[in-house]
Amino acid sequence: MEILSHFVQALTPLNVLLAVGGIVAGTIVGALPGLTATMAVAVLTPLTFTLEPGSALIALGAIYTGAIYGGCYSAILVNTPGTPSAIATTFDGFPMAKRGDGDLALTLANLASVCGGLVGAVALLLLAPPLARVALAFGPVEYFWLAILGLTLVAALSEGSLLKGTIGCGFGLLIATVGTAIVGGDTRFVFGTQTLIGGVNVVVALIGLFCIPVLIDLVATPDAHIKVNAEVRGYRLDEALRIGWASKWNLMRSSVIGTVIGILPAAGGAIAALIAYAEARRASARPGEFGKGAPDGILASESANNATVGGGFIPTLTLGIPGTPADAIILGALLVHGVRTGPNLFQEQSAIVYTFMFGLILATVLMLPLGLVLGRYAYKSIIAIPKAVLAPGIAFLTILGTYAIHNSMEDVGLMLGLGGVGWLLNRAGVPPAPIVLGVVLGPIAEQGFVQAWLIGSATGDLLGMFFGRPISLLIIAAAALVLFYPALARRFAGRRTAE
Amino acid sequence: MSQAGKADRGGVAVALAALAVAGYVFWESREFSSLGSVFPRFVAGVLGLAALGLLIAALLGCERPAAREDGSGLRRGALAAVLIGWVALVPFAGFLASSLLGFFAVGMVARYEAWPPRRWLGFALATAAAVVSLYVLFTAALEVPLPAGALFGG
Repeated sequence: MEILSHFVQALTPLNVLLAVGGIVAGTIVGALPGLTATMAVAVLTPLTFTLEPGSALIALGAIYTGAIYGGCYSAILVNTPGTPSAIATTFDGFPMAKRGDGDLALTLANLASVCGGLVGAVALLLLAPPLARVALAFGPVEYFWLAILGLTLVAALSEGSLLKGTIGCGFGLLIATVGTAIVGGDTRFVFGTQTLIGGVNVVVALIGLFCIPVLIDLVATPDAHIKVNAEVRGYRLDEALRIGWASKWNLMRSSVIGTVIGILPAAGGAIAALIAYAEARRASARPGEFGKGAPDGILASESANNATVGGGFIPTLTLGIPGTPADAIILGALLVHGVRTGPNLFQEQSAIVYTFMFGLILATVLMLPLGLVLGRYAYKSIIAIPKAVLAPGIAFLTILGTYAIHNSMEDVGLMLGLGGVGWLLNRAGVPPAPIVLGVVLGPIAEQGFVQAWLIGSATGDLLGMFFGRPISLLIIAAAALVLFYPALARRFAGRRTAE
Repeated sequence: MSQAGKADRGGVAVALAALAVAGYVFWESREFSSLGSVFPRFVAGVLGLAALGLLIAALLGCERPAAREDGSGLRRGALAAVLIGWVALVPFAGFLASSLLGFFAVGMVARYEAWPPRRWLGFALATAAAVVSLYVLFTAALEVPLPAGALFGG
């Protein structure tokens, strides 16, 4: 009965209002390229200091959820992920928009985000303490293999040439090594400048590689950049629900992947979405459609990235270890409100914690109608704006968003440079997705590899370190499945047909 | 000759660039510690192998050339020039003034039809509204210190 009182506490008019405001504000910030979920939470956190702790947490959770979801708008409509979590959404979202199904893609993204968000929030509510142990079981070598699992996606993203995709991924991994090394502290590939010492920011690379090539091609022809159907089709909710129901296992699997990866400190929504995407493609009966506008790709990416919100709160609340950068800021806000995170939190401050958990579920449910309305508005705006205003609008947002990351014009120059190189590579058949895959997964792969190598060398068991741990073996098996399953399945199908 | 049978010039260029990058990484990483060099060298090795494979495949005509994109090369070049000019102007004219000019210039590059005076007025208003509203949002609400520019005492 006590838990019911926390549920009622979460439903006060003020909390509902805060959840609505948080979702709307977060979605708008998340939709703007360059403004990440972390930035949305950081900027809006001080506004919650005057609120009751439970209400403040609901507002922050709603902002965070909304920002992760909002990233899909620009990913689908202008091929630029609003936040890094939406990288994998561009793979199928933009092709869907280009062929005239942008409205359906936005509704699918909304449904998937709500589904993933609910799975993550329910896991937080019911399974937080046991799931927190998963975070502690992950060592450097598991992170390394997780990155390798993500890198297997290069086979899917290479658009016909695995060699070119591998080269693109190699470029991305090398871009990720620029700056001060995470382990060892060497200053690498900075060409004598101060600008590159901190490395190449993922969002700078994302905006440059995804958005600038689209912009360059946008002005080259008078045609609209996405196809617009003359008939009014509304939200296409029925169609999206049918697709979602047919892909319910994909949705559930991706949501669970997102929740588990959200639990792992420093992994985050981008990695969760990429791995869920790879798994969805592996399990699909039509893997060839991925990357060409497959609804399953959007469902996998969006459900996984929103599931990381609830998953990330598990180690934050139970261990005091933030799962994502945004969780770290929320952890700071918790301390300001006098909430002491740790194993005893659920006993000592259960009222605040359970009110927050129910509030997170409430915010996620509210995201369904709010997201549909906001998505519809974004879609109508993008198709109604003439190209002579849309192109400079996108250019302005890319420059402004890139500058805002570090308040640096050097970052803007770097973004334009990467964009130009990305466009040239794309012309030669190297798509931007494998490059971005390398940029995102490079740091986690390098850190995991070097740390595991050090520990293995010190203990005299290098082979056992890389191949002797149960979780590592599971991830290696998953990576092998992603790589070889489609070929094996084709071979078996061919044999059956021959028989 | 089928497209698949044609030499993939773009592929050859990418392969040569990748070989150059891999070589540079090996050369530069001589100065790094073993911890700092192991990963870049490994990646450069894989990059070099993939580049060699691509070079051979492209020269033998086994690699399919990328599809040619339609559209105006002149407008693409103009956009690149405008974006570079926009960013170069910021330290002198400030973010607001250079963005108003840059927004206008990109709009001109993306304009395909003749506009009546009313449309010009609408475009000018849209430019001012978009740039000023986002400038105010970022400086006032999000507290992002956008450059004022040397011309305006920044």
